[in-house]
Amino acid sequence: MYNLTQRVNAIIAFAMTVMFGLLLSIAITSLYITSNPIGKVDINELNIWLYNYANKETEFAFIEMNIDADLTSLFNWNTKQLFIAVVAEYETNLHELNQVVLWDSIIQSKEDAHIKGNKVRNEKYEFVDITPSFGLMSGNIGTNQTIPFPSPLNEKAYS
Amino acid sequence: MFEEEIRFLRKMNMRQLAQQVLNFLMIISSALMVWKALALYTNSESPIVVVLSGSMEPAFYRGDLLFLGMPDEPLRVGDICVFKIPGRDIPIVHRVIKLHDEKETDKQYILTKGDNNQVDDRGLYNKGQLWIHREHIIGKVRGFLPYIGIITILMNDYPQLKYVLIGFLLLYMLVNRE
Repeated sequence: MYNLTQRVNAIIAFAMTVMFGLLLSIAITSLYITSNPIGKVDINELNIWLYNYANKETEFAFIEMNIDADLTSLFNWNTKQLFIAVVAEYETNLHELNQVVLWDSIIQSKEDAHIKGNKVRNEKYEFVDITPSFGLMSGNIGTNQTIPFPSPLNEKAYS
Repeated sequence: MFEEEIRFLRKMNMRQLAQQVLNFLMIISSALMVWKALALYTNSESPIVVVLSGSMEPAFYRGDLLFLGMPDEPLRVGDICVFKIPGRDIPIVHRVIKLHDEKETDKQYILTKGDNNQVDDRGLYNKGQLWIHREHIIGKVRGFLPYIGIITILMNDYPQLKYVLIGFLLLYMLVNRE
């Protein structure tokens, strides 16, 4: 009545059902785990230099910053990694929104999730993107800080 | 173990054989319908993709399955999106690292980079192309399932495997009786 192939088939089918059921429940429950990430970015130094880039006088920003962030609470049973980045967000006459990543890092363990980066080179917004071990991607979490942009240091040299 | 199946095949008359073939076609067409419905629902031409390169490690490895969606709102820095460069077949999964929204036209100028790459993607774009735009984007990564897509990669690397697998499935469908 039952031959070997039928038995193997039944076992594999049952194992798959159980595995996907488990994966689904972990993926759904991990969406409801609360977290309170905190982060702060201090600018040590922000210098603007004018350089000739592609035959155009262009402003280059050199930034040194201290990052202090505690992201340990973002690690739950379905967190594979955090992608953290310091993003400069600004508005210009032509473009209503500009976003540029100044610094980024990938954190893969809870032990490394307390960041104290001193004198990190190269403004005002910091964000975290969570990659789960599987399942749904979490959105971006960010804190905002506004930093005034100083005038170029070597302005006189060019004008 | 196959004698029974062969005997079963011999015993089948034309009508039964036609029934099995129809059943088989039915399965293929429903799979296609589900795929196309998913494409319509997510507004993405290929809602499920397999990661083919290691450029997004350690987030995604070769053979991981990604579920895509097309967001209504504009893209933002940090989004992982799949895009296709004009004139090239293979879509690329990378992260947005620079973005400029034009005021008048709302056109997005997007620059991407793979997490595992040292430099941004300008070298991957067409010659002289500095930015990609919304029309190049196939979707934004919404969900993720590791390892499952490895079969696709194996079938791409060893095309014979594809025919063996399809042949085996065909045979199974023919001798399978409900």
